[in-house]
Amino acid sequence: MNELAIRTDKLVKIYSKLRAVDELSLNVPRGGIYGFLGRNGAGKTTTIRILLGLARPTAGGATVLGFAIGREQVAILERTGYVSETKILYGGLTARELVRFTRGFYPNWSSEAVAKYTRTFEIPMDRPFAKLSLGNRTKVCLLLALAQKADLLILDEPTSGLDPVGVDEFQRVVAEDLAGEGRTVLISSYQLADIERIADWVGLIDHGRLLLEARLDDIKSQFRLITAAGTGLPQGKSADIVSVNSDGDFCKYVVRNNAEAFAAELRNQGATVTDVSPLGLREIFLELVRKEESCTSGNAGEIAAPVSSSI
Amino acid sequence: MYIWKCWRDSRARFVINLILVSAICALVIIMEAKFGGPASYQMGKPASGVENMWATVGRMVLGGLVSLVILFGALTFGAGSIGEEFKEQTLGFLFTRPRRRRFLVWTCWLVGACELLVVIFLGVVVIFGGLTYLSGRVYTWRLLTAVVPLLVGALAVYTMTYFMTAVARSSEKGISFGLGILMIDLLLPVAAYFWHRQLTSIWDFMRTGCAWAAGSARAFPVEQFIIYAALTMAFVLGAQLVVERMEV
Amino acid sequence: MLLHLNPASGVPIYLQIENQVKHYIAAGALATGDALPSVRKVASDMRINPNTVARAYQNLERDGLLRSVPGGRTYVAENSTGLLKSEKIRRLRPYARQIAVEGTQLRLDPQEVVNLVQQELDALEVVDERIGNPDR
Repeated sequence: MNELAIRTDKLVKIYSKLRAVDELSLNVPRGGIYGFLGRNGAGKTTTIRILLGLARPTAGGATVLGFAIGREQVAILERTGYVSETKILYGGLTARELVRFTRGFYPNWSSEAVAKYTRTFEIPMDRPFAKLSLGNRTKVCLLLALAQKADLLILDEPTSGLDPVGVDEFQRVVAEDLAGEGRTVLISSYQLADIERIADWVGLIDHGRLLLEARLDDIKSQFRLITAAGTGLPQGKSADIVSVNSDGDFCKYVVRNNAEAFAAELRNQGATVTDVSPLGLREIFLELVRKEESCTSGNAGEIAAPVSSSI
Repeated sequence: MYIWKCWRDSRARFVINLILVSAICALVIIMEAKFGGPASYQMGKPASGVENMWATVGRMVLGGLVSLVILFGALTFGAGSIGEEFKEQTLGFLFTRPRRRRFLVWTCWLVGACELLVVIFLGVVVIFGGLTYLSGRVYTWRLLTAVVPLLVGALAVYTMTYFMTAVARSSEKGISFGLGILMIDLLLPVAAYFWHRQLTSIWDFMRTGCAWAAGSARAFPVEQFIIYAALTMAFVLGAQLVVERMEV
Repeated sequence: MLLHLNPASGVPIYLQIENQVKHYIAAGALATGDALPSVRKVASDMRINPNTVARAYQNLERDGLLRSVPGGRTYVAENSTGLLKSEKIRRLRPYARQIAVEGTQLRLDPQEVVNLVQQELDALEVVDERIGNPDR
């Protein structure tokens, strides 16, 4: 039994000239919550569909819970709960009938979980699925995935259509029942605020490539925004410098590593370092995926003020 | 669990076909009784004097209208069963359940096949019962074996449409293709007749098989039986391959 | 113990928890022997990862501020024992350095910086008295 719940090995998926997934090597450790982040169209859903056997890779391979995709797909599906991006289930069946249909596939099915989450999420059990709102449909999909008691949960936009109460309940369920239970959860989302509070690990994908994969705590302790004033400040990016925005004698650097060393270097050059501050996940995300724009005038390119969201 | 789902989806179609086929069988029997067999005259002369009247009736009654209704019914089964999944776009859900895709393909197919069997069997029983009543004595039990050629013919059309639906990923396209092929198969012999060629259609096979079942001296069309049975298997295996390789 | 966490801030959540617990202990709101809410409860209430809470508790325990009973709860430790004065000074020095650097950068008078620190210490004592803790 290896340490990784999901491991992809230079996974490639090409849809007639579009490289949806480009030599992606993900490492999702067992037992944690992994936030799979990226813009729309970055390749998150395609990657997930490959892991679940809905699509075949053009090149490369992957293992899920130690089983190879394709060859051992059924073994993977026995142990994996899934909520798809499109929350589509059989429209003519009610939630109750969907439970009845689904539980036959899973020996570990928990009826207690069904009862509990039906209550928690206030799911209407006797209306046809097609007549439910998006939020309720999402809840039904969550219910089916959670009741499986699977070793691995792959959730693609699990809060689609949920109102704030629903989102809060979902977060509580993740915090209470999923995290720290030895289960692995991969959440694909661009709701960064939700990911930020719960993820152990973060994997950021853009144009099918992995830009960043690390513990969330490490990312937060290593990324820094350095504001400096002075003449002749370095303008170029480097391995550690993600972006540079300058306005006259002032310069803002987003650094992904060794922030203190860089700040000291700037001071040695005679610059005044006015601020070395941490960055929220949203800022880090935007910095890493935003297209390179060179702007040296006015406020262009300035990093938006972090939106602080209290609980 | 999937069997339950397939059954639930096909319930309406099954009942409609059941009623339709039984009703037509009953209707034809009643017509035979009332008008002394207009079907015999409309369908042409009996093939040879060796055949007894009952064989003629068997062929006309079963082989004619009833076979056609069964064939068209089989089309709807083929497009409807697997087409349901495509219509609802629920393949993403179904294919992420821990079952091999071939299991799902075969299960879905089998449910439809069993339903067809029941529909056909009931129709034959109605004919059998009707003829027994009309003739005043128990009709030859061999008539019940008419189920075999009818079923094989129906299964061939059903499975062909099933395969088309899987390839086209749509029940509308599936039934269109299936209908097109069926029409070609039915009409080609008619066209061939004008060029003095002889072609048999699936309809001919079903009628001949029914004639044999009704007690005619004609041999059972073994060759065609094997061909259609093999085609059926080929189509369902083809559907399996298509579905296994499908990307959703 | 009421925590106010800001997941979107750049400060890792476990650090926020640590800082707030330290603040509570320093202000006397948490006294020696008081039990902290369990990791599961905090995680569930705050809708955060239990690993994060566990990490904060473990760090605080390593620092001698908390002690845990195996398989049981976590309690505020007597932080005067087990920590030598030199160790405490060593612990505090980076913060002092930070204040010195910041103060200089901001061109504050050294005396103003010292006054600032004194004000903060006084404010804590006030809180202390209100809660009625004679010693901390």
